[in-house]
Amino acid sequence: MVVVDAVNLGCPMPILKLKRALSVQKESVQFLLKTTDEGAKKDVPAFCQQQSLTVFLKEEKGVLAFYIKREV
Amino acid sequence: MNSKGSLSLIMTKGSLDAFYACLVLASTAVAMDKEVRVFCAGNSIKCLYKDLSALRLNPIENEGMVMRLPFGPKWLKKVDWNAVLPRFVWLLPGARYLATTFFRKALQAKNQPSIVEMRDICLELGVQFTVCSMTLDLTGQDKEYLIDSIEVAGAASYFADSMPSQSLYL
Repeated sequence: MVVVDAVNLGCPMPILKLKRALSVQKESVQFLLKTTDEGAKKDVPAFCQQQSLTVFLKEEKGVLAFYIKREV
Repeated sequence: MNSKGSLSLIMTKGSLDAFYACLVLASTAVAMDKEVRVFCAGNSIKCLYKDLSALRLNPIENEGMVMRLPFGPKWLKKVDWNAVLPRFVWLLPGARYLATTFFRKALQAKNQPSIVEMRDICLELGVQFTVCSMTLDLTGQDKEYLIDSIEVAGAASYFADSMPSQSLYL
């Protein structure tokens, strides 16, 4: 699983870091995006829906952990 | 236009906060696979300078701007200086420089990229910046001061290219 650390980064950095990871790690299927940006609760699912990715959110000690899977 | 759509942003102001907002929108849209064009006309030509240090905040022009200190005790950081200070303060020498410095410090404090970094991210992701040819003529601006990867075009070619786009005027 590719971990994308966007903790303490504001909008739009979590989306941009996730996009970069998706582009660079072309072979990888599962990604974990960690962020503290509250706006990401809506932004990341919207991005994933638009990019045809499945996403599951888990909150762990104030950190939003998005488990993202690329369809193959 | 690609299947995810396209977005065109029209910049006419050369202020730091307006351009930062433009870059946030542009980078997010291009990350979502939209074709993104930023058309810089009028005073926004400075947004395409290689050196962006001339970009400033202009609290006089934007009454709604929230101006908070990025450092100091909590109570002081809560004060909106643009709301409490008389408007003429922003005309005093150095006031806009201070406001700009506070904005840059606030970005740093929140781990946000600088204006230069945001523009580089946009260029790397494929945002197309276009400078209005009439603005170039009018200002007599030498192209060597501008970033390399820009197009020069007039309003007609801009509209021809961006007709089906969602357009935002900033």
